[in-house]
Amino acid sequence: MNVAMTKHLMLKDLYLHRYPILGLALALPVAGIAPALFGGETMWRQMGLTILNNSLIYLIFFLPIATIIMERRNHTLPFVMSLPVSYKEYTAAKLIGSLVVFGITCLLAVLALPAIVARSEQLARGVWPVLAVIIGVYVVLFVVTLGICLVTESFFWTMVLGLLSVVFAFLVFPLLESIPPHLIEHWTSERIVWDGEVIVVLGIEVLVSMAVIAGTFALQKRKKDFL
Amino acid sequence: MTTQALRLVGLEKAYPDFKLDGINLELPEGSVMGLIGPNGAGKSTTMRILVGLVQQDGGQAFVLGRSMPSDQVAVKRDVGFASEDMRLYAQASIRWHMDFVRSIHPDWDENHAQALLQRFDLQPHHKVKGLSHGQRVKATLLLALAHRPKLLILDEPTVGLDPVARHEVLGELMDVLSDTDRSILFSSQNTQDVEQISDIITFIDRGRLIESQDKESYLDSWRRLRLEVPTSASLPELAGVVYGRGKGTLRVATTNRFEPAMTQAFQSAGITVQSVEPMTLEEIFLATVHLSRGVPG
Repeated sequence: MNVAMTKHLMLKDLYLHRYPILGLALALPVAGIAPALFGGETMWRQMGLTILNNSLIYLIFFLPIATIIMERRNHTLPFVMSLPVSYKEYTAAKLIGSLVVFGITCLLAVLALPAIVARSEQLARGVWPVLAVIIGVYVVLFVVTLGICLVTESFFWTMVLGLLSVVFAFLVFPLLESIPPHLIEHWTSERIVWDGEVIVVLGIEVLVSMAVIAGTFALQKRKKDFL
Repeated sequence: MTTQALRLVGLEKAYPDFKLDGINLELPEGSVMGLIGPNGAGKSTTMRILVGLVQQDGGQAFVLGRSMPSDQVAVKRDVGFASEDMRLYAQASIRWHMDFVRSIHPDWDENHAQALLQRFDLQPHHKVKGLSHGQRVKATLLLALAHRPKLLILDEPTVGLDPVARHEVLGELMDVLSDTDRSILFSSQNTQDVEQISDIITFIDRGRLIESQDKESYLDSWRRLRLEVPTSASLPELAGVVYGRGKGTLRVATTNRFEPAMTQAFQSAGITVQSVEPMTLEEIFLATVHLSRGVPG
């Protein structure tokens, strides 16, 4: 696989979608700054969390649809694939490019989160392991959406996954309530405890993401049409 | 020995409602092949296989001596492709597209690209979404030509172009041919375009190759004969001759194996040959399709 070629293809997507990506990247610090600026009132904290959550969900939808589905729908895929590009470089560019953007966005979300939780009486530094698990779920959701999108090139299936993401977004708060009490105890602590259960869940998230990426490459290899 | 720019051996591709059925075809280096066929004949599928957009189910495709799709990256370095249904990025400028393709094609010739910009009267800062159809076609051709490909594969490049734009595009293709090593595979439903620039004519219909021949001898082999057939005479069975309907005693015969001796055969049967007319490529195309489908001309 030609790394330089993959880079050119990634930069192409970043350039073509630079404005929405920048918009989303800005929304996340705003999500953190708003509660920090206006104090720890519940309303501002909720607003920050809502912006954060919606931005991540929007990103899960937006990147695969804009860079993969629309490329096919707009008939620009034949232009790209008629250039000296292999399916591996194309697939790698889509996966790595999207993961880089998603990773940076998640990093911004991580940077925004302390501001959201800073003035909370119920949360302290000890909440980080649980937040890592939640961000991990977003990553899995994103990788699955990306993989399905690349393999099926189907708007329908991407929308189905997108809907599942929205359902997940609504389930976040009830899910938090179902977290075992001994983990919740850590939330108000200043000490970060990487409990065994948390590490297992994080491990599963990493494995699932890697399996989906490997599966995507395997299925792309079998694909016969790039139109 | 002649080197082949293209060699297809028993090429097959099946879709639910269409099948490319064992295409065998050769294009010598430095030649221009015009691929003619009705909608859904298999022209685009054949061309897409040649640039790796679609993979064949069976048979072999060799492009510039390399096998497709296994050597597709190397093949695509030496091939320029433009298709009627291929689009550029609407929100990006022509210059951005040029820079993008230049970053991918090591043989990109910026001087040639600039010359093409001038020739096609394109402004590099213009965004694709603001271009007319003709300008978009020219921009696509510029991107396909600027790395000076050894083989150009053009799928209906002149569709929807006004006569001036068509003339410019065809003129550029003629210029490309001034370099005798370059080859072109060119599909069009406009038989005038094909007749103008092709050395070899290939007919394809319903996924099958019907004819592939040198243009001059091919056009020369087709004739339309206007006959006056007295009621007492009957039409002779001649190889390669198809009789059309006629009014009264007048009949029209079409042949793809014309020889001067043929007129004598009619006269011997008591039939008067009123005229022997050359046929245009469009008329030949229609006759060939009718012949292959078993429809009377």
